[in-house]
Amino acid sequence: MPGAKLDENKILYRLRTAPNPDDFGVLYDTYVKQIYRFVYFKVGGHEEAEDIASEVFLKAWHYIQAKKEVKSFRGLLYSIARNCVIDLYRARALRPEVLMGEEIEASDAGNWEKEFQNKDESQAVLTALKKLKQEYKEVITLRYIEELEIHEIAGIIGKSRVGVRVTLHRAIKKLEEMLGRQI
Amino acid sequence: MAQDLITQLKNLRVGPIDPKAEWVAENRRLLLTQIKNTMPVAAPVNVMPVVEQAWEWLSIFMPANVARRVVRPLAVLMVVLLVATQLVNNVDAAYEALPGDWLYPAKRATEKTQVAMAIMMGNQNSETKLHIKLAQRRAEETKKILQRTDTPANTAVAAATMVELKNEIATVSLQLTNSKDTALNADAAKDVKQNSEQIKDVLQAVKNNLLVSTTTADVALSKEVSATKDLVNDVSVQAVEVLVAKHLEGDTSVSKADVTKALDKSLQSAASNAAASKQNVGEIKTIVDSVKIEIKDLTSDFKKQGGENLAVATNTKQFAEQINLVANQTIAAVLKTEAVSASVDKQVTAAQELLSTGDLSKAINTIKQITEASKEAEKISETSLHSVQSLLPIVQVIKDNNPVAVSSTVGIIVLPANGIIMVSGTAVLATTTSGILKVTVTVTGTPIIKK
Repeated sequence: MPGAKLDENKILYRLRTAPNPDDFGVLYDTYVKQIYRFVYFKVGGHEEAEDIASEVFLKAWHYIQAKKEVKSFRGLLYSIARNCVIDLYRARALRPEVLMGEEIEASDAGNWEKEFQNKDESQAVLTALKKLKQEYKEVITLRYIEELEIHEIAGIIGKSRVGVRVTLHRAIKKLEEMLGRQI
Repeated sequence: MAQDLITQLKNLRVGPIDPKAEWVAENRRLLLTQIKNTMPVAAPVNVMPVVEQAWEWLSIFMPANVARRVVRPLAVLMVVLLVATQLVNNVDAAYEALPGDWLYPAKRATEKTQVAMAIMMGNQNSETKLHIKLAQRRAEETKKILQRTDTPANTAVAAATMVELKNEIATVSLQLTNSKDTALNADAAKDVKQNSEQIKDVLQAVKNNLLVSTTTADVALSKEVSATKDLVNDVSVQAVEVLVAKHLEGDTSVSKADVTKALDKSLQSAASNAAASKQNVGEIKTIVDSVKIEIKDLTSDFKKQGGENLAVATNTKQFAEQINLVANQTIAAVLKTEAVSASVDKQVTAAQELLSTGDLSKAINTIKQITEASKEAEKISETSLHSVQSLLPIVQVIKDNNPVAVSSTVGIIVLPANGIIMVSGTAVLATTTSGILKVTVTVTGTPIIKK
């Protein structure tokens, strides 16, 4: 078992048997940037990303303290993050599928794209990514930007591994079409 | 192509999307505060049963569902089968197992699991208490191993067990040294102090048993036991030092009375060790002096008789020269231990003064000096004893038809029929008509050699 995974399992063991905030702090330090980025790509704004990221870690703490099984802590965080974003838009009584694209437009989407160094290439990819349907955008973000494993993505979005691979393939194909590239 | 696109997607993980460092730090602080607020004020009592903890621990190394659905049922089945076949029908059987017994590997595996779990839990106090407890077990095992008569190579097995004991003591010592930086509390230090005193008693009993033997392996083991006893002594003093430090820092779990009692006990222990060593060396000198006188008388007798006994007289004279050498060494040892004892007496008085005035820091420093002096006296005593034992080998007296009784200044001993003389604390010389002079001196019992 790789060292980092073993260390994380040790921390989770300690959190379940003798909870210690400092141990949880170690997990926070490991994953905070990833979760923040994931949420940011979904909501397109720093303030909302900060609020949701905070909420994600607190909910993860309560989940562990409830002694529920944690197969993958990273997967747990992304699942919670995903649900938090959905809750955010439900709370505003808006349809999340439509909102994802619109919300980004309404927030600082313009800044979102401007923040990348290689603007020409990145901007094209981002614009295309933004226009993908939610399901495709999510799997591409999780797989290639957040670098999660297929089985983790399957656990987060509630699909089978085969289903995730098929969706990924279709998503990349669609993105290429939108970018006008040869398949 | 698709691969280029994937590369570009991966490149989207860029700095500007990362959260602000100030937000990360502030959010962390807020998060941990919120978490602490959800926890009980007192230190949480871990109510998870030990068995459940063990399965949780197992899930560190394998997926939780495998531990739960495969390993756990298998383990339960094994226990059921073992009990059903009465292979394990006594829960104490494994605990009492010694090296070489079939349950000993299970006993050691259980101990290693306990240590691993204590480390996982990050509880320094439990870990330290466990290590000193294991050290005590190793000491008890060593004693029992040497008492066994049915197993060969006991000395080698005992020596290996002593190595394990030393390792445990070294671990405890390190943890006491680092106690300022870790969460080691006074309770753990008290445990160490108490258990180390018990370990010292066990090791002293082991040494006493080894005194009667002069084999190379046993002498080496005896030295090893002495060295280990010194280490245990050091750890005992270290534990008292930690208690003093905790008390002076304001730790209310260790009162002044607790500290004074612990210091006094260490003081008495060191002082009595020094006194015992002085007495031992005195007794050894008495034996050597007695042997010297008898050898001198015999040499003179054989010379007067002449003839065949002249050859015996020559051998006896050489023997006498060896004894003179040892006697001189013993005199030097007596003087040294007397000097050490006198110095220790003064220091004990000084330490008691410091204790009564409440100067605990100086008191512990004085006790450390007394402990070192006491160790030195003990080493001198052991060296003298080994010198005497090596000089007077255990041999079988060869008899002729007419055993001869020789009067000595310490008593008349008649040769028994089997020709072997065993003496406790007295020097006896015996001769036979064939002229072979053989002497047996055996030291038995406690380190204080009884007349």
